[in-house]
Amino acid sequence: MSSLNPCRAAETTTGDHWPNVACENRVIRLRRELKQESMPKHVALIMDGNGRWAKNRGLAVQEGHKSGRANLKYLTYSCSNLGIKMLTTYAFSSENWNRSNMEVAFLMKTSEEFIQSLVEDLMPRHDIRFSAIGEISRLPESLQSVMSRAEEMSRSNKGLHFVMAASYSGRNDIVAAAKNIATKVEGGMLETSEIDEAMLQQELMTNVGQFPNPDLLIRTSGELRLSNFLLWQLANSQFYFADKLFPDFEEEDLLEALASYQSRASAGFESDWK
Amino acid sequence: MGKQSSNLATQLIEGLCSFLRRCICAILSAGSLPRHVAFIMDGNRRYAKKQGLLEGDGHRVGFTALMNMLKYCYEMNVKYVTVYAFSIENFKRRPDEVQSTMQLIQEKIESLLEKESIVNQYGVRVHFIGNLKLLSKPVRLAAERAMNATAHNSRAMLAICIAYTSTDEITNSVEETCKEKMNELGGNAADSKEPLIDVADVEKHMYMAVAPDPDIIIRSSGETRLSNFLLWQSASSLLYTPRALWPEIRFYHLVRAILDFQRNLASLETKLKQC
Repeated sequence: MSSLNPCRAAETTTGDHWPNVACENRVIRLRRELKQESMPKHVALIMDGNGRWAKNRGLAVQEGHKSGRANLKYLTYSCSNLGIKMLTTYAFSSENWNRSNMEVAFLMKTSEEFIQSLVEDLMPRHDIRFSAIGEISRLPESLQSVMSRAEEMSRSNKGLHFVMAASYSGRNDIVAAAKNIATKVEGGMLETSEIDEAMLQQELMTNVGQFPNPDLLIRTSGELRLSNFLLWQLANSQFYFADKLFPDFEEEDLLEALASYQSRASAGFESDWK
Repeated sequence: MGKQSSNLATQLIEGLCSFLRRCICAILSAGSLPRHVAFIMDGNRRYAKKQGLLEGDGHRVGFTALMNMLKYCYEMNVKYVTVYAFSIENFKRRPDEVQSTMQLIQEKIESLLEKESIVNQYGVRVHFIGNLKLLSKPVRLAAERAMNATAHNSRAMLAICIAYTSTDEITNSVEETCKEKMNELGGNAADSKEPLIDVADVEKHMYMAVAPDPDIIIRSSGETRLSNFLLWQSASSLLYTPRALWPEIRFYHLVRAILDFQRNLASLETKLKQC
């Protein structure tokens, strides 16, 4: 499959890491080869594979999520350094509510801890802005208040805009936008004939950011699907599917994804669809 | 004498290929088969350039490739097939190119209605999906004729997306949903409730409500984008992106997509059991 599909990264079979020096050199080389002017402004990330990572090591699934969250912090730091303007992560989908109560509770707690560490660590050093999108009212009170406090404090920050999609579903995003529009029509502020794509785009949850539509979507763990994430917004985005499980997806892999994006974006041939 | 024997040879080879395909189909049927496969037919123009053909000829070869893929899908009992024929974005191309593509499309729509066409062979009902008002009158009329002529077919379905983008489809659906809700509320002026819209309301007004969501979306030519195709419907679809340009697509690409689909289904089911 990998040989047919040029956008997929190679899998490490045992989770072994390259010798540090070789790895460092590769990272430096990849960073040097990237062009700043064709860096994607908005990267979306589906962080898949935490559970499988834990299972492969004989650990509880919670360890996988913990490792994943730690890796996310590191990747956020990398994205900020690379000059990416927006990073949207699929932290928790509407479908994930079907998992066991214990796993859901743990996911909520690690999300809270992640936001706290963002606030204490990355925000002051990198001027990162935080937003949360999704059906936030379904989340536990403590997480909601951590989110709104982080949003408040970082509203005027000018660095990387970190968007956490929690209890999010691409279809529900579109339906919520439809409801807002319908309310305006019902209130007499709008005629149905005035409804157009630009209006719908503005009502979507991703309108919190300056660049609502991702240029690049990265999904880890080899799953080749969107799983109801940002459906409208991904209309013209490049997809990059990596075989590695999320806790193993390092800066080197991120740089390869970006290099793949840049080479495709600047390719000389003309596609039938832009 | 020579020509007769080469015709016989061609027939024999075709017969052998058909037999081999039937064997492979039988083997694949041991697992679940996708109900709905969608194709983004990318690479016709690049193929024409590569082969030193005129641009329009790339599309003609592409049409032959499409007929083959449809045959393979219907042989495999894939009931629903959707193809991305012409995006609203494509209207921005050079006017002479748009004109010649539209002429080709009209010609091919009319050929679908011929007796020996694939549509009659497999009992296929044809739907044209998109903002058909954007099409020129002759093309739109040809499309309507084709839809009427095949309305009674029920063994399989072919959805041809023409003058289509997914964002346009979704916007149209939202507009229709709003109109419907306004009509429902319209009777009770005093009863100003917030209009209740849910996923099912939006879904039923989609042009693609005639088919279930695609199980697999195949985009040829190695591009890894959806380019505004079936965004709503692709929520759970497997995405498969072979490097082959559309006119180079073959039966084995479909087989690999289905094997991937079967493998994914198995791992999805395991994942759900773990929940």
